[in-house]
Amino acid sequence: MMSQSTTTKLSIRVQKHLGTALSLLLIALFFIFSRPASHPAAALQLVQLALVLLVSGLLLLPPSRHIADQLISSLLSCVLLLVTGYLSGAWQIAFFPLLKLAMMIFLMSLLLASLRCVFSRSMLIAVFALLLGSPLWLSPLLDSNLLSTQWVNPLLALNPMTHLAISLDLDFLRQDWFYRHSVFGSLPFRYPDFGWVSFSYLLLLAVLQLMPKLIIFDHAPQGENH
Amino acid sequence: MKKRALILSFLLLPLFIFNAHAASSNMDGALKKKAKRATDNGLRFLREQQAEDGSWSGSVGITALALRAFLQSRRHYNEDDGPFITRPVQFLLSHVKEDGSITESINNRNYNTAVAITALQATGNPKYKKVIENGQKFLKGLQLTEKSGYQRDHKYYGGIGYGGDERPDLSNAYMAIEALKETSVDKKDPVWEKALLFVSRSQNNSETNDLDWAKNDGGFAYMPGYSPHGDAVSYGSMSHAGLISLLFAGVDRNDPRVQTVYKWIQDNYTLDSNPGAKHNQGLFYYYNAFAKSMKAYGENEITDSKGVKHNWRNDLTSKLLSLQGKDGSWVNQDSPRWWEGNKNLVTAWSVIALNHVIQ
Repeated sequence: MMSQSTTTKLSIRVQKHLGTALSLLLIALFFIFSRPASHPAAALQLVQLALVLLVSGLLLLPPSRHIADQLISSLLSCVLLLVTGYLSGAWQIAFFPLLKLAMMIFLMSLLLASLRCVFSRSMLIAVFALLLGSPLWLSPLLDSNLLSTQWVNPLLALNPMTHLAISLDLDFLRQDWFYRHSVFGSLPFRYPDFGWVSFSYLLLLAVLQLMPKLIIFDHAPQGENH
Repeated sequence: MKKRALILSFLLLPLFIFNAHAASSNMDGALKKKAKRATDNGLRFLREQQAEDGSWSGSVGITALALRAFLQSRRHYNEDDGPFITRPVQFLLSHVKEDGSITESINNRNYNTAVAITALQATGNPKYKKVIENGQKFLKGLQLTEKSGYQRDHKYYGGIGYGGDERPDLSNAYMAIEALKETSVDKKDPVWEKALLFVSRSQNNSETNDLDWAKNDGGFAYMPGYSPHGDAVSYGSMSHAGLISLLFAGVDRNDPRVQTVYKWIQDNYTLDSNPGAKHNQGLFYYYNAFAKSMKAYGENEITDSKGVKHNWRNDLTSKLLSLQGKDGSWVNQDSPRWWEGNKNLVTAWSVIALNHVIQ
């Protein structure tokens, strides 16, 4: 027989997961109603959806040291992405790239969930946003030769959007909006290899899981909604 | 006596032919000699930079352009000349994909495939016919049409982009058009008419451009309603790319689209910069397109808006000679944008431009 406190803990946990799932479902519904007309448009939409799911997970999910929790939230992102993608017209994307994207969002969610136990939510979001937006905020520096073009490939390799886009062979830097707002697309660059990116994620996850002293729940900043 | 005269005639014949040819282009003879030497030096630089696998910079696009620089040079190199020609050909062939594209990366699929099939065509080897045909199909497949969900009234209709996105631009379209022209795609193929619609919609000419954004200087922007140098301004590299695209797609020289862009070129005639572009971006792309478009237009001299006549061959040669490095290379010292910090690419472009000048 379970004790009352265990039941209460479990109930709170279920409620939190349900709340998160509901929020993510609403986001997914938003994407379902905007059907893309072509393959690149569908790919871009899936990448955007994946990013929204990742950020939502970061914002909504409480930090947890339990690998089971981390796996569940990552799987949830993965399933939501696939279901939403399918309903919104991802049928245009071949099965294998879709699988690669699902795997990538799973790895990324898992890494964020692991990092969430080490760093504060605001710090993670700040770093995530900085990396994500690097083609935009570094563009003027590159355009005026204040920053060497040698930085383009490393920055691109660190960009979360790159990791998602390469799964679908999407050249996001040449998409209309990006090309108009960033010089990255007109500089010599090469997207990193999907295999290497996946391997890097696995390596980082292994390091974070195998070094429990680093992952100390108590280090999470005070005053956050856990 | 008759015999001596005959021998003398034979000895003087090459000189006569040389002079006649120089006169046909009105090019300064001494400058032409220097241009030939400059191409030799450029090709020697490229030869030194070639990787073991025959490629340049590990890129299909740059390898294809460098290969083309060799094949179309005055020395008419071909596959019999050795591995420095056969290896890059093999490098290109090793990157042929199932969909017909020839590329090493998901980005630049259009550029890479376009310049690769152009280079393979320049070998004159019939063995590559199938690869070239598949490349043509791939390029045509990139064109935004009803098949990809675009209707004729859409500003992007008929355009071709990098190939990993859905944003067409005049630069990519011009590369594809040149490749399709060089590889002799049927003039009746619908690809031309659709491409022309996109090209026309990239021109600042409200009389022939049915989109609202167009101004009236006659030059070309990067794509309908947008230029990376601000607003939708016309600039040199795209205006020459536009002129080549029009002519290669079969538009007559007297067509208003051709005449207005030629007027823009006259009004903005300079080789000191890429007119209209900021920070000298895309300067060597401009020189390359300039040489091709001027040759395709067929005038030896161009009169600028002040009424001054210019021999474009002399001007381009002088400018390129002044920019060539001691090692025979060229590079854009002002801006690396559009890969112009890459010596292999810029040298290949410059040699191709000079090949157009001296032939």
